[in-house]
Amino acid sequence: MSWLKQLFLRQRLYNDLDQEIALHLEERIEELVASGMSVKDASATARREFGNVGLVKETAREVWGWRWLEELLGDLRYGLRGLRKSPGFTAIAILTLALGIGANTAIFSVVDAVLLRPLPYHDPDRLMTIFESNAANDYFSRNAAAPGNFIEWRRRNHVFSQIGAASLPGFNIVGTVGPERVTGAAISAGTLAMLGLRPALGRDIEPEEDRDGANRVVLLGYALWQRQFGSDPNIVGKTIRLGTLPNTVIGVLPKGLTFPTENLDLWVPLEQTVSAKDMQWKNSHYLSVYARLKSGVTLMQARADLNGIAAALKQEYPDTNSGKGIYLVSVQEDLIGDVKPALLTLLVAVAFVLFIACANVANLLLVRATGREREMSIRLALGAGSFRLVRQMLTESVLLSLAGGAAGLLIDRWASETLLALRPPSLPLYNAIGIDSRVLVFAVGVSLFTGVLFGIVPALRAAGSDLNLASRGTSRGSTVARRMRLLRNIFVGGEIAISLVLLIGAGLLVRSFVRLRGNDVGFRANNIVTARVSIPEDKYPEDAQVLRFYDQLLERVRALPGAEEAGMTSFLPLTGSNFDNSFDIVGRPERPRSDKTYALVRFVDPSYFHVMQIPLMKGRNFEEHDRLGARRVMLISETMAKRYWSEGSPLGQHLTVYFGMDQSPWEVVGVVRDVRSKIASDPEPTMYFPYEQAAYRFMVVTVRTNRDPKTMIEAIRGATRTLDSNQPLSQVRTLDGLLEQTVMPWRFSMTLLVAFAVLALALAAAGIYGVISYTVEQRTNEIGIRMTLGAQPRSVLRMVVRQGMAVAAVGIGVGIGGALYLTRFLTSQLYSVQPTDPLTFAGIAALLAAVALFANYLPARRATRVDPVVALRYE
Amino acid sequence: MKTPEQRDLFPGALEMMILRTLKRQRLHGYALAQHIKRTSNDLLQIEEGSLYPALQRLLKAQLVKAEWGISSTNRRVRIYKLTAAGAKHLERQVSGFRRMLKGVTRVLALGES
Repeated sequence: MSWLKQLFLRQRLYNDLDQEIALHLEERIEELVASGMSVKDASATARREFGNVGLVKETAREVWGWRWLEELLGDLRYGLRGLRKSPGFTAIAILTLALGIGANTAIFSVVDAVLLRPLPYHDPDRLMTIFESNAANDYFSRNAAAPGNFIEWRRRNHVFSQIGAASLPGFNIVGTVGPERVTGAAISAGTLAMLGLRPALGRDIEPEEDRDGANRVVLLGYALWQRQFGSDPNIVGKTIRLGTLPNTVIGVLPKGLTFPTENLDLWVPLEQTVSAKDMQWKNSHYLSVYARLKSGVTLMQARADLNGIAAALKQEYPDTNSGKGIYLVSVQEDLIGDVKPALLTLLVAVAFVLFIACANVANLLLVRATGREREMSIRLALGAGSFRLVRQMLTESVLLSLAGGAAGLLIDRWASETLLALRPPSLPLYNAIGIDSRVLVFAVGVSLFTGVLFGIVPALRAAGSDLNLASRGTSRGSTVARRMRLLRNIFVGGEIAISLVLLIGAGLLVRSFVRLRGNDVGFRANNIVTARVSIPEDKYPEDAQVLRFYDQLLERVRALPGAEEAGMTSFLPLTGSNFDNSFDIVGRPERPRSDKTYALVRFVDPSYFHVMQIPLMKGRNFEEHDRLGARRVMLISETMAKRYWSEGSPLGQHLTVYFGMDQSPWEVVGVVRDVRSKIASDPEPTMYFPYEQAAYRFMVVTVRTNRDPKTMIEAIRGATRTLDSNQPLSQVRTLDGLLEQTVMPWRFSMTLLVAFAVLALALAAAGIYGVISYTVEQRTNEIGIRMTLGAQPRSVLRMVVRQGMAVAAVGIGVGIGGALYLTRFLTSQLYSVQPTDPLTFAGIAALLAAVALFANYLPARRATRVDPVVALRYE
Repeated sequence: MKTPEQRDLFPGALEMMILRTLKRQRLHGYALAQHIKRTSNDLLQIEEGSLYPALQRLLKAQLVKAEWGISSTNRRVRIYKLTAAGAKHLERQVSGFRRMLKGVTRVLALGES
């Protein structure tokens, strides 16, 4: 008989056995009766001769080897019955565990998707990103590569089997729905294949198409294909216009493709967007370079090879490459390096929450175990092994934790959505987040672990019950009870310590966030809507055309109802320190090439400073007559003025700025207040130029409005369309929204850590409350006696509270020690707050003490209401 | 309390006696118990109940088979019979036991002389 068949036949085998034994006894009794015995004696004799019927049956059944299974089933049945009998306990325990396990599962699903699972590329471990680095200052800096350097790396390296570059140009397109500004990727031929990506429709870019002057081809993104081309299955071979240039569609890429970043709409050959001449440039840095390591080559070997190339390039091209190094890092590290600390912090934080939940449930179990001491003693006395009892108790706690885990998955669904809504742009989603088999396995694993974790101590305690208790009938005053109380206090003290650590961590992040938000960004963000209007060169080749377009646009936007003021800039504050340039001050010694000074470059119109309410500190603003061909004038920021003119005034000084064809000097006519280009960095030196003197083609329109921003945006869209029906807007947003987005990474960790800390605090408070309530209940009798003997309610109250607060004080002390050690790991996520910030530590400790006092006071007050007469009769 | 594992017999003895008895004739549990008791002259103090775990072991090892039938006294009984494997097993066990007994007897005889 196979094992499985036996299992199914089990019931029949057992029935046979039972019948057989019954018949055996029957036959013996009949025989004895026939020999003249009374029926009563005969049945006693038969049983005596037979032995213990129950034991015989059990031993006979054991032969078949299902004992473990049957005991498990028995334990499960017993456990379920026990849990059903105390629904209040069960509900609280399951809820507590669901919160703990749900939070853990949710964070795990993010950590798994972002950190643990490999990127969805072929053999992702060998995929590398190559940066230029500034060897002089910061060896590990990661700068975009110049095309000329990319070409050299591709030609000279010995360590990569494949190498490709990408940039992210924008395109104006017109599909079936209307004009749209989309971001695309310009990539070297073979880059997609290097990643193991293939078009869902059509074919990849061929090497001969990745040339200046080759046939223009384009790969569409899945979303764009759906949105603008109605998922046309015959799109391959058709022609679409990028700007005015016709491109042949050669394929459609798969849905959800996120290379090189998210939210891209089309892919074109790199060297069709960069001219052959520009591909040789080593001065202009805008390429991301990806490479695959040859098999057998290590990261260190590859770095050594690249360092050699960098050294050679320095020798050959000192003008452009002195002081430049090459930095190689895995794609994985490059993409997630920034969010790793935040995610790991959250992972530790949820684990802490789970420990607290465990301690709470363990305490509930201890209380329950005290109530069940007699039951346990009786079972021990009847011969149940203590191992068997421990297993029984553990079965019960694992049942609880599995139920908690199941409920936790419900919480997880909701929590995952919340997490995704809070997700900062720096948290890339290359893998989907959700409940999949890995997350399920994790949830079950955590549940089992949790069940054993919180169950083991109460189970061991229960199994170690004193046999005498059964006969004594009460545990009052016994050493066992005292040991139980100590255990409960340890659990509660631990909870307080852990929640203190979490609260301090959260407090530090909150303070960082407040500091961050309190930063003077240098402009007033409310009621400003912005949109970038990128004017294509093929359609408007002349600078004069560009200026006319922007002039007309501003005029129309200003006339819109609700538009108070309108201006333009090339780059908004807070969008990063992109576009800087070196300069020299006329009259001071020119700096050598390797030691240039840099400042941010911004092209603006005169109204921009009014719209943004950036005050003029010195000199004058731009004026209408500062146009192309007029005297070249510029404004500088306060920081720039202070840094380079610590004595004397910058006004009237002339600067040579190395951009554009005409490099004749600019005159400083005014100084404006600083604005931040990054929220967490000090303002950088900034140079402003009249856009009319540079004819910059990618201006951002900024409008201060007294209407609903949404209607304003539509109005701007409409005004643009009246000028050119194919002219799209991009980066349409409110400045408030931009500000929000800038602080999102901080908000993400802060919100989650605060949520976990509050959860921890609530659980710990519930834990204190529960333990003190129980203690009061247990000591009702004693309190009654004290009060009969004349103790005042106040002193009783003080006695009970003092006991609870002693535990809380120890917990807080341990917690502060733990936090002093642990918060250093938060340093990279803090902003102008020390990890040992005394104010946070003191404040949080006080908060926790207050909560502990309250959680103590509520049940303690009940003690003072004890009626001595009732209390003495208690039990 | 005496459990079947702590019985006076050495391990396997009860099974061997059951097999030997069943080799001669098919029997149901009660008759088997009485037969062993009687033929051993009540020398072996076996609890009748301990027969059943032993029978289950033999069933599991497929050394015996059991089916429900009617006894000579017209009762519904479960009758056990030896399988071919059971017969072979019995032979091996008995010869092994004889060898062991011979050895033990010799040693004991030495001590007496």
